[in-house]
Amino acid sequence: MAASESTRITLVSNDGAEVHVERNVAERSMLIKNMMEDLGEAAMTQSVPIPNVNESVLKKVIEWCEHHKNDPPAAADDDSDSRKKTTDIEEWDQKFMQVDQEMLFEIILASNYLDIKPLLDVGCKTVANMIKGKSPEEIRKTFNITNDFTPEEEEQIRRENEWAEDR
Amino acid sequence: MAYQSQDPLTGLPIEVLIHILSNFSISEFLQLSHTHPIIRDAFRSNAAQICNLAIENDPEFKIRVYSQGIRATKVNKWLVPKSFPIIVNPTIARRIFTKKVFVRLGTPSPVEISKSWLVGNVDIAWNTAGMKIKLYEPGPQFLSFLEWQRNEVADPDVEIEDWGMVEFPRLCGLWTMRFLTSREEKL
Repeated sequence: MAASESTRITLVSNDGAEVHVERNVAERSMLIKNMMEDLGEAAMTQSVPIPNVNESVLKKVIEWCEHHKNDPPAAADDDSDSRKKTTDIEEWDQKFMQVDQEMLFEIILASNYLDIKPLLDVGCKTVANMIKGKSPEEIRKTFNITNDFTPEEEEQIRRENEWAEDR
Repeated sequence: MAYQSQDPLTGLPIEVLIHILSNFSISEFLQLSHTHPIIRDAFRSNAAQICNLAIENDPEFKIRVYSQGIRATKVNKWLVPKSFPIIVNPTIARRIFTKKVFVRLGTPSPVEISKSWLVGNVDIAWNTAGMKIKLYEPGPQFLSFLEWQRNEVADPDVEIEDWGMVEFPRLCGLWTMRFLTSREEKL
């Protein structure tokens, strides 16, 4: 364990940048952890390519992993209260996610690709909180969504969802 | 029909979109489903998974749901009550019935009960035997129903007369939910 913590590995982003990181930090990513196990000793001497993530996003993800490197691993079937409600995001994570929208979605995509579930969860909750309480038009405006519905389709959806109104 | 996504939200992989959607209450999701066909299709195609996650992801909600006898048993991928019956909080039942069209047991043909009619007879309705719910085909309305229950305080001293079958309108071509009374269960 101690040896693993002190070992540094090199990740290479899709734009060719090398990012040096402690192995135990990088292994917050299940993808990297599995790669390291598969590579064995070779992982210590070879760079690990991360083809779907650019340098700035990779560094941001590593920053999150550094901060959370000592977090206990989540159980596969977690019946505890460790999964909090949507609005419950730790203060540090809230600040971490205060980035522009492009970076936010890049972090979400990277955490999904790298299989870092807690980070994916924080990212998804952040997006969910951006949506909560907004009207459809406000949501479109927030995420620059083009309204592809025809007026007839909108009316049909309104009728379909009528049962949930006026609760 | 395949839709083109030109924004970051609708361009997300479906598994990530589902993860985001599962953080919403049903009414919040319905607001979101108005925004783009991709999101609407994501819910229609993955409604069971989203509704199940919505229950599982909220510890308080999960405890409430399971305390109502709903276990992690899945029927057609939906979390459903394993042990029947579930006794409905009369306040909730009243709120559901007063805004839905339903059919009363024992009537020769379906009778639409208007809100004013029901409110006018509410005191008679809730005085006798408890009402039991049986879930046949869950759907988004089921999640909505659970959310109603979460937000209400049960009154164990008040029981409900055995009302008949209640059938919600179909949503998005998905599933429907119906309630059965003890009388109908015996039939």
